[in-house]
Amino acid sequence: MKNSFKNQIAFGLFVAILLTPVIIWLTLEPISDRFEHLWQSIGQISGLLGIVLLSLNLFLSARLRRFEKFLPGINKIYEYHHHIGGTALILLLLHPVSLALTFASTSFYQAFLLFIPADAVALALGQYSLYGLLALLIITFYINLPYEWWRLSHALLGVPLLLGSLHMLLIPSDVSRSPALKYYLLVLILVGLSSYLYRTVFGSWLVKRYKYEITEVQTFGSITEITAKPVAEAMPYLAGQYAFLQIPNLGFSFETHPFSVSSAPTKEGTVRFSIKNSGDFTSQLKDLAVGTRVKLEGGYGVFTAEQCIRSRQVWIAGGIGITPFLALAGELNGETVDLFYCVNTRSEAVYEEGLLALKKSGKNINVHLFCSDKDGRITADYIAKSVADIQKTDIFVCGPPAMMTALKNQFKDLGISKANIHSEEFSFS
Amino acid sequence: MTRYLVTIAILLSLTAVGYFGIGSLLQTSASSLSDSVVDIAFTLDEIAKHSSINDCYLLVNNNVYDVTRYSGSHPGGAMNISNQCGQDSSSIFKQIHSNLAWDLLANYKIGTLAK
Repeated sequence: MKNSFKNQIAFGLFVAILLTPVIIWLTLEPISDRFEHLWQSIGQISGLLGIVLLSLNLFLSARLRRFEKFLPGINKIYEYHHHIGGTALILLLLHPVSLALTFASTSFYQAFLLFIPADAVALALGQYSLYGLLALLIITFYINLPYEWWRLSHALLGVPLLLGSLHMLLIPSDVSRSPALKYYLLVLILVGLSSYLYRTVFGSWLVKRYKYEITEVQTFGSITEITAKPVAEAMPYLAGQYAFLQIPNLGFSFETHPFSVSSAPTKEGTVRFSIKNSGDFTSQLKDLAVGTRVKLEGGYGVFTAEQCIRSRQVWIAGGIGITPFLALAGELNGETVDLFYCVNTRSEAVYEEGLLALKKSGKNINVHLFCSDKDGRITADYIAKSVADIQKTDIFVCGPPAMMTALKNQFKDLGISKANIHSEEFSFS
Repeated sequence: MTRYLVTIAILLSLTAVGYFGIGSLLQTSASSLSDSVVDIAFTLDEIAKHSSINDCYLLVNNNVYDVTRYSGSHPGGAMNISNQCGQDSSSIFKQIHSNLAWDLLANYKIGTLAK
């Protein structure tokens, strides 16, 4: 099954999960009650949807490998996660405000009291949940904390979901009256909370991380290459996948970052990462000593040879986006590849030589170097003209998001099906 | 985009809470809802007659309340009040409600349970 099709299934499922509680709510007796008091209806629906989105967001952030094929790439997931979280906050703010508006018709004071911490446990749980969520998301949306502190604050987000869920189950309302609604939401909340427990609370024990030892550190301009060998068990991965790298000696021990493995899998289990210096974490990598212990989690990603249905391939790499192709190139076995290696200046094309050496060793790989200082921006048109019969190839693109979006649109204009284009997004922030 | 909408939502929520706060200051100084309550004694049978959503008496701690007008505004849904109409709802009311609900209830008092 194609991944784009699986993505559509996942999206359909997402919409269905979201709409189901609204549909159950709509059918609750007395039906006349559903729309008689508009603000009350809005308040109830926004509360339901908010808690569903919060649960789904925790599930998304759990990075479960089993569901990976159904979800888009990691950058897209981060993006959706961000939007879903923001939407959940908006809905959960709307929830008490619209309920308070029903109060306001009788007494402003009662409406106001809805926001003051209450003695009634069920109501207080909802208040603490909302204020906790608000505080933690204000940090995410408005305050530029150092990464590690932000992550710590974000890791607390399971608590508002737990409190909010208790509020929802305890407070007398349509949810507590309707078993269907109650159990449906209970299942979703349990999925969300178990994802949270698995990834965030007990991640150090439950999430499988492989111990490696650094055997070599080299630098090429702004790129640091780290080679590591397994201490015990080797991490299983396919060429083109990425792994989360955690270096306990560096910064906060819980900090992990995703990087493509730039070497094809070997029997010994050694891995190589080629990492561009682009931030606090990556700039420290060049100073790592041989023998340093690191932990790997992976491999993740669907940017692998499994996606190929044709024997001819076009690979397009933007800058450090070359890394998954380095691993894929090592595994070529008779397929013909045209690799477009796009860099700013020739001096940045540090892997050109190695790729040319691969060609000499008998791999069927044609390297087209493209330097933007000399050649401008690469276009789909240019690629189509350089490769015979591009319609009959599988196209793999990996590079900065702007480049990938532009190329994907241009290929679409050339009449090339979306199903033939595979991409892995890298953000350089 | 999301951040923009979140900002708007937070500002609107703050405005609403401020509106309720200021509104309540103005309202308490002007209102005297419960001043005119006449203490009428009701029997359990009389109370039980008012057992529908359109005519709803509640008995809480031996006080009788006519919450017909309020039921539509109940945050827990009208249904959760109408279940209780015409009955002694003391225990469920105590379990669930906060001070604010007790204050609110006082506004609807129409009498007490006949001894």
